[in-house]
Amino acid sequence: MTDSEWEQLLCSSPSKAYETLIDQYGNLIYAIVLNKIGNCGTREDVEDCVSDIMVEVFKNAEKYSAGSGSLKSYISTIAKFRAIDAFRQLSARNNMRSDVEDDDIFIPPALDNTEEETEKRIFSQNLWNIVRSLGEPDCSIIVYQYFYKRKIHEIAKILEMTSDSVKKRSMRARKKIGTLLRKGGYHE
Amino acid sequence: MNKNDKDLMDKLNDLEDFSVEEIAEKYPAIDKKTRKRILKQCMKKNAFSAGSDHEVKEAITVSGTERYKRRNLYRFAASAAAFVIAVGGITSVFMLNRNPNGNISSESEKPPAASFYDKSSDAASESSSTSTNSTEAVYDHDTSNTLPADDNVSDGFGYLGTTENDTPQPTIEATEPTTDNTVSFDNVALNETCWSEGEIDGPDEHRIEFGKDGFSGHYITPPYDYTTQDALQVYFTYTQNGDEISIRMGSNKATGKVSFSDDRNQVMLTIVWADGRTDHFYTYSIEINSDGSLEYYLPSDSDYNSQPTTTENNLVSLNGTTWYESELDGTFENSIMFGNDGCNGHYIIPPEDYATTDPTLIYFSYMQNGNEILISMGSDTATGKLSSADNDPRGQVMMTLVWANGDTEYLYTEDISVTDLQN
Repeated sequence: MTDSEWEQLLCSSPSKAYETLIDQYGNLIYAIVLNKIGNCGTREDVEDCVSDIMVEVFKNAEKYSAGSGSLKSYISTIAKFRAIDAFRQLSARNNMRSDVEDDDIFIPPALDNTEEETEKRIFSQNLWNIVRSLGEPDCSIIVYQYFYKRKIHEIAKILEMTSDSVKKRSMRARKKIGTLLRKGGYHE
Repeated sequence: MNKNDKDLMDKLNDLEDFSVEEIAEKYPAIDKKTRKRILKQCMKKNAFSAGSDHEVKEAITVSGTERYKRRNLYRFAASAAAFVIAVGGITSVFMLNRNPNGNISSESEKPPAASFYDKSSDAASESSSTSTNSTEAVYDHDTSNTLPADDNVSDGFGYLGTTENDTPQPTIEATEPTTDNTVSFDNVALNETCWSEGEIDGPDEHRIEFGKDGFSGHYITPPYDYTTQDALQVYFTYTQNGDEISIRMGSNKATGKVSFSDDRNQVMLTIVWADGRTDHFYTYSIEINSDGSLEYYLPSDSDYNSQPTTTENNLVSLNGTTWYESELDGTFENSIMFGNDGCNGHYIIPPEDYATTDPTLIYFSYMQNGNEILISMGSDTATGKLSSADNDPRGQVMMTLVWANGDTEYLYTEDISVTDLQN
């Protein structure tokens, strides 16, 4: 479905437009959200955030016009900002939980323009490049296990493998990644 | 793979946008269930925020409610009802505890099934006094108040061809060996004995004591595989020397059973009296009827195996018996099995104050029915000792032999000598 077709569908049948949005961009939104809050939120938090993004896209649908840019970029932008908001909220919540006894003033983590953040990003990107180089099914296993935070049996079901082989392959792949990272100059 | 390698993998986030897009495209994460969940959430949120989605709105809008206010009247009514119930309960308990005369009943004033025993006791007293001087009427009138219901009692006597009215007072005479007192037994005590299945279903040393004299020496040995779930229905009467005793186990409701494949010489029930006499009831003399009542007859002398099966080889098994001091010291009921037939039913009861540090030196031989049985205890090295007449409370009976057929032999101090086996 093209962007203009979706725009038309939004006018004629909003519910169907929703479904189409999820089918077409759901995975992208999900990945964007996970990329931000994967380490601090639960799966429910991720789904909650995804649905928030969907609603926001839907609510601001009239602001979108197919002529001004692609729907994908429009959704990605909303998703990124929403994910950052969610990350801040979740970090605050987690800090509130852990530091509830110390009365420390919570300082939201800075996300942009810091040296540390840049280093982190560079490392993550390098890591992803190494994961990509592993080939299949090791790459899939690592992505599902560490990006999507899926459990072994879930991965086994998705990849139609046994849990044992998923576990073994994951272990070998991690070992390989560790070696490759160290070869590339990474030191713990 | 070390822990650091594992931690590294957690850094697989915060990727560049194009990498995320690649992952989303190659590795889709939204399955049907997730899609459904997200869609549902979207609909809900959309309905809340914009109010545009009519479908979901209906499901989550609640209207027409008002704050519930409990009326004060209910509280008073509930308190009053609770008070009435409490007072009623206490009153009814109090009324139930009162007898027809208006007095609060106590243990000693209960009259119930005692009437039957009261009637019969007079007759029994008369009969017993005419028959022998040494006989004592032993049926306890006072305690019969806690007997089972009358119908159970009459059932038990019914099989003996008697009725409630003509049943004589059960009185038991002591025969041999003579004791100065007849056996006194008390139905109530037996009836009230808790005879649980676990106690009965096992070795036959389990026994139920009865009688008024502190239950000393009077006990009934239940059959090996007798079981009942209605312990209160277990009672007995028995006929001996013209007096009547009936035995009954179980009831209509109970699951009492008597084995017909008892490998212990068919002895199903043994009554051991205070004077040492033993009465046995055999499988063919005991029958449980469909209504739970029990029929039986007493075995004649020929029913017993009058010849003890002891042979010289028995000495070996006795000598091999380990006889620990702690088991013998002060426990009269400790017994040592002997005999060639798997030690079944043959046992020797040691004297109360016998002690030895060399248990393997104990042996015996004794003369009976042409067979010689010698008894010897202790050795030079052992510290075996025999009690004197002064300190033996059991009339110088130093050792009791109980045979498989139930015969009991008493050995007195003069019959027993210490022999140095090593010489």
